[in-house]
Amino acid sequence: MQNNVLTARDGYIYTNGETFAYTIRLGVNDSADNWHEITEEEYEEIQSKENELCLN
Amino acid sequence: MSMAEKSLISLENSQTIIENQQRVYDKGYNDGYSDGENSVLRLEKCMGSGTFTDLHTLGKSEIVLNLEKFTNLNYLSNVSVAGANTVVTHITINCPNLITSAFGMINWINDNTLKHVTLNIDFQKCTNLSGAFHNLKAIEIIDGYPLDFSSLTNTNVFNSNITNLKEIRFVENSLHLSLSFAPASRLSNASKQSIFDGLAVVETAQTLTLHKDVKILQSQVDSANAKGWTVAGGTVVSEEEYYAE
Repeated sequence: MQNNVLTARDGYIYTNGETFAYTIRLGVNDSADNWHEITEEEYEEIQSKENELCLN
Repeated sequence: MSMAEKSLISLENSQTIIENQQRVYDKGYNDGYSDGENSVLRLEKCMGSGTFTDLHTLGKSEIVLNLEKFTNLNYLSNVSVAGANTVVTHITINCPNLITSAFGMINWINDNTLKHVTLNIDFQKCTNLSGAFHNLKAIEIIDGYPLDFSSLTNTNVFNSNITNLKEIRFVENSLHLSLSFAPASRLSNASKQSIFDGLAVVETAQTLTLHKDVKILQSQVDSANAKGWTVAGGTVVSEEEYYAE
């Protein structure tokens, strides 16, 4: 982490439970504690489930 | 010149005139037919609120809805493409009232054709736009009045179908809830700036999510961060690279 920037490791992506991104630039009210890394496989799985929900 | 020669010339002139008249007629007919095929279908609906169902486009590629008495625009549903080889590419909705709800508003053309939505609508008092644009798989332009999301209670407005979105505008300082443009990799610079300008100062952390390849400026990020917004995604580039496109 540099200043207020979180950059995910290779093969990982950051999430706060609602959104996903490889790079997070924290706002003044946000904290790194609100974000955690998941693997890209986990991310794909979540996306697939969300897409299924949209289709149904 | 003999009488026979004069008659022949006269006959040829007559034929030329007739042919020219036919050409003019054909051109007018074809142009008129073409205009009729492609011109705008205008619909008036005089109801206080409610929904459209089964709007037959009658071969028109553009639809204009003038909704003078509507106060909600929930589910303007089921546009039927009645003309062969007809696709609806542009819809304009004119509504002079302050709309209070418009969930599922244009969640109804599911055929990958609608590229342009013009909304001459003030959403300042609108609390619900859930799914308003969810099925617009080809959408490139959302214009008309700048979108005002200041009263929304959730921002489940766009979804994964906005991959082609280029143009969108917001009222300044009207965004106060987390919003995602993660699928939209083609946003214009003007659209990006409008999104950043649209961010209101928030007291609890909100997140603006952008496609990872969308080019943004550090000044835009700084401005958003200072207003309480976390920027997820996007790629910070130099001004030179930002304005190169």
